[in-house]
Amino acid sequence: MTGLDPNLLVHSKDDHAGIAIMDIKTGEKALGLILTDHTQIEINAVEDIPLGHKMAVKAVAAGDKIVLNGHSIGAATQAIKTGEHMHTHNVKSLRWS
Amino acid sequence: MSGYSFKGYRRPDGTVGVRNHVLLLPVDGISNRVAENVAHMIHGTLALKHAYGDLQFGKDLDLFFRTMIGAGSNANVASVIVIGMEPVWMDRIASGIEATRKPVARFTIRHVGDLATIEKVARKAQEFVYAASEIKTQRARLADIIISTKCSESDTTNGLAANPIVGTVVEHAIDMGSTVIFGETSELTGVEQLIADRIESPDEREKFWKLYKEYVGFMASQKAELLGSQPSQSNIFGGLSTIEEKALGNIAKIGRAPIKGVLDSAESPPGKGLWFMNTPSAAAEVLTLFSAAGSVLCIVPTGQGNIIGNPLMPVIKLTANPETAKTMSEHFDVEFSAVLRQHTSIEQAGNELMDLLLRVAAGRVTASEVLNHTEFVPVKLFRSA
Repeated sequence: MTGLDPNLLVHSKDDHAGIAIMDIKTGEKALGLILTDHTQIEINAVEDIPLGHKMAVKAVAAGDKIVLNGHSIGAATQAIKTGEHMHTHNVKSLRWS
Repeated sequence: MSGYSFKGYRRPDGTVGVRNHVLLLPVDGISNRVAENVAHMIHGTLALKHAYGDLQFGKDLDLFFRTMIGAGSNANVASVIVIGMEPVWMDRIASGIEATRKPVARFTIRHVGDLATIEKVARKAQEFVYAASEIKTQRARLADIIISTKCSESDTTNGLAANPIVGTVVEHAIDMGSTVIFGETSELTGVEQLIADRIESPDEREKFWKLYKEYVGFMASQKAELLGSQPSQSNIFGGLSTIEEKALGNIAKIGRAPIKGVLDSAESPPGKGLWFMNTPSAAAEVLTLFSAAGSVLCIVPTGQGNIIGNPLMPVIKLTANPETAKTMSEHFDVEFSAVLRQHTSIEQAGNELMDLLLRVAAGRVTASEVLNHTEFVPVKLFRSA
């Protein structure tokens, strides 16, 4: 990572998660680029986030809808803290199991 | 890019192809051996091995005939030899292909046996290969061909980069008057309303809802766990968590063009523009149905790295996942990890992909062709009689 290069991409401002574009290790700082307005955010990874996987950029409560790129992609099955790994263990489809 | 033109093969029915195959088409699974033996003997022939064509009936048989006739009719095919155990279904397929006015021959194995049939087919194939080699390419435009696209072994990098890049190419091709097909019915779950809203006519929209509901209704009726199948294990490994998330990335590959209408599996588009085809989402099945509908070139953006090819049409594969690009480089015609890293814009990558597409149309072979990936997998709707 060359200082200003992001390692996390966030489709749009209201999204609950960003996507790691390289492996991010626990304790590392994620530099997230929001693609719609090119603003940046910084979040501490509290878990390993492998390349391509989602990191919560906002805290969500159990049952909350998860929004990505402006659309619901499912719901949280448990509370998810900012910086945590967001995947099939804590997010579930609202369409089918 | 010389005005989006290339030199292609203009067929007697006016369709344009980008390859020039002499096809050996078995009617049924047991006729594969003759086709394969001749393909080994005669340079420049392509045997389309498959497993079906016996005791099928009803809608499943209709789809089988549409797939076989469509394969032979594809503009990438110069001429066809149909080989069947029995003559009735063989004649139906051969006659269907003859509507394109390309050379078609037919041989039945019943009361002849493999060995004598092989000799007859080989002699005819030799004749067809000589004739095909003398067909001259002619100047053609993007508007003259049917293109298709399918994303495969997708992960989150598809939605971020690979699919939007393909989306710019699709939009551009449509603007140039081309025809583009996409499919993957169950993989629209979560964005089906967005797709329906883009279908131009109310009749076609109604058709879309009917077949979408039928498809996902069938899946639901199995009362099975779908996580791990749709999204697949590869999708999950790559970071996709739900079908809605996968679907959202999926539709980025068709850009923002309006959708003209809805096609049945293996049905040819009746006009230009963007068409949705009712298909499964398994890559080999989808590409087989696209090629049977007349697609002569396919673009496959992949995240985890699908190694898919197709015997009838060149498949251009691309990825934006840096790990996939590094570990499976032989399978990609171009890699766009620089887009994921925000070092190259989607538009710039789209221009590069369009340039590659025109080169492939003009004869540049793809990774799938060089690696002999010739998966031909007709879709079977239900059990045979």
